[in-house]
Amino acid sequence: MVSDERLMERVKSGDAEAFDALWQRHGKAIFNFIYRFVGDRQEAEDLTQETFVRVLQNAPSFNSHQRWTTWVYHIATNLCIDTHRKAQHRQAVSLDECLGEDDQTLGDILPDPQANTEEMAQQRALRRDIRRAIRALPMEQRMVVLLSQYQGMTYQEIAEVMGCPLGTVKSRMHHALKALRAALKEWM
Amino acid sequence: MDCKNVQANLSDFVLAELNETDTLDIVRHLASCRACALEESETRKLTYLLGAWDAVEWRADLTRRIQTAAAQYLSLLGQNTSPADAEDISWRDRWNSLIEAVRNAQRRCAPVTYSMLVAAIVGMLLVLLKQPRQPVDPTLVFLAGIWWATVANGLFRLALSGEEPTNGAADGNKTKVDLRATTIAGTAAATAVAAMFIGANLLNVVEFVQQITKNTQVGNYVPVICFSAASLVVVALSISALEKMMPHRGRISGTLVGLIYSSVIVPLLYLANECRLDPVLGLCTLGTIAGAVVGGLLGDTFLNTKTISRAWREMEL
Ligand SMILES: [Zn+2]
Repeated sequence: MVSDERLMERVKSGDAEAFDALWQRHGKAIFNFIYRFVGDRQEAEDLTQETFVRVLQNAPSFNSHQRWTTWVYHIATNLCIDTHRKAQHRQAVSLDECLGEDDQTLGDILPDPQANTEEMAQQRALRRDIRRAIRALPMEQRMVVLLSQYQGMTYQEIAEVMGCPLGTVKSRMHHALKALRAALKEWM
Repeated sequence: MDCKNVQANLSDFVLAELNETDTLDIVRHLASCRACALEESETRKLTYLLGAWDAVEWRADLTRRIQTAAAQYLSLLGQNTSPADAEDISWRDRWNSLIEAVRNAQRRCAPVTYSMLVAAIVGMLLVLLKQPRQPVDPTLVFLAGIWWATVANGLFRLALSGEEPTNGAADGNKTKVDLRATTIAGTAAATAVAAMFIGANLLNVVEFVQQITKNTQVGNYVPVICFSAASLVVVALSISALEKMMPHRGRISGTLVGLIYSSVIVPLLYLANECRLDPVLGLCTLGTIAGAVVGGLLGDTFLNTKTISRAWREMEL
């Protein structure tokens, strides 16, 4: 399989197929990362689009010695942080209100015929509580949890994406998991 | 490890982020401590629970929207590879990979190795210079060491650190050609070379090399070399203590480069001049180290107040 970095080298010379390949490989993961952070599907789609536009805008300065995923998540992370700050300024409606109950997952759209309704309702309640607990975390801790738990990144990778020391990632993770445990106590 | 340590490291343990020794320590502790074992299973359960928030699907038209948005940029990128632009990009690429290589070297090299490299380069520069003997002013040598620790090292670190430009643009700034950083690094390099020339003139390197090669009484130098080695150890210990106090390792490792320069190169330069063990030399070197510790920290702190204050805020979280 061609590496992301090689594909990006081809994107630099305007190769649309290489760009599509990167989108197919990482689009869904990046969209979900942003979605989990901002909590609004429409906004997440807009930010995902903006992330990939910035990939193209910044393509000439991409250095193939760096990891493409680190680079692209750095872009996505900065966009999320900017959006978060703007939302804070606007004193926007709470993220949970934005989200309502439309946080449908693939499992909701294509329900498992074997699963009973009660089980599904419980799953949905759990998801809602996880969502609320994660969104209640301070922005930096939320970012670390999302990158680690849902994007499967190591501390080192997260430190590179967020441009902070490894020790900071560790401490953010430690505090975040502590807060999440308290918030999700009834599920444990 | 005691319970407090184990519990502080449990999330790293569960996420397999600990080194082998710490992992084994925790495994052993968990086998014998019920309270910590319970904490561990709760943490594991939490990470498992978080997995219930599964991925969502985007609306069908997102791919089309992105392809449409991408088309214009892709055609621009295609045009950009005209010969003139290609040359421009490759120049930038080459520069970026050079900066990246230096950054990686700094990141991967232990500070001591990096310092040795710096010392070797400086040494080579000195040997290349042949100047008649002139009297030495010790103050100038101290100043050279402290200057390196504060200004040159601080500026190099700033230039190579990949700090984002203050405009805060939300994109892959780290990989851009940063003209400000380049200018700073260039100026620092030029000043460093100039200072080395002045230092070499003052210290008369040729004389040093001749004396070293002629003088068979190697024993004369042993105390001074031991002194340098000991000062290195002291510096390294102080640094590791400081790193525990201030979690921003990169900055402090940068300072270490300056400190090693001051504690090793400066005494060796003295040796070059004196070629004998002198109690005053010992005191002067101690003074240099103390000055460099303070100067290096002050220099790095002034140049990176933003980063360091961020690190402090993290600690308070
Ligand atoms: Zn215990």
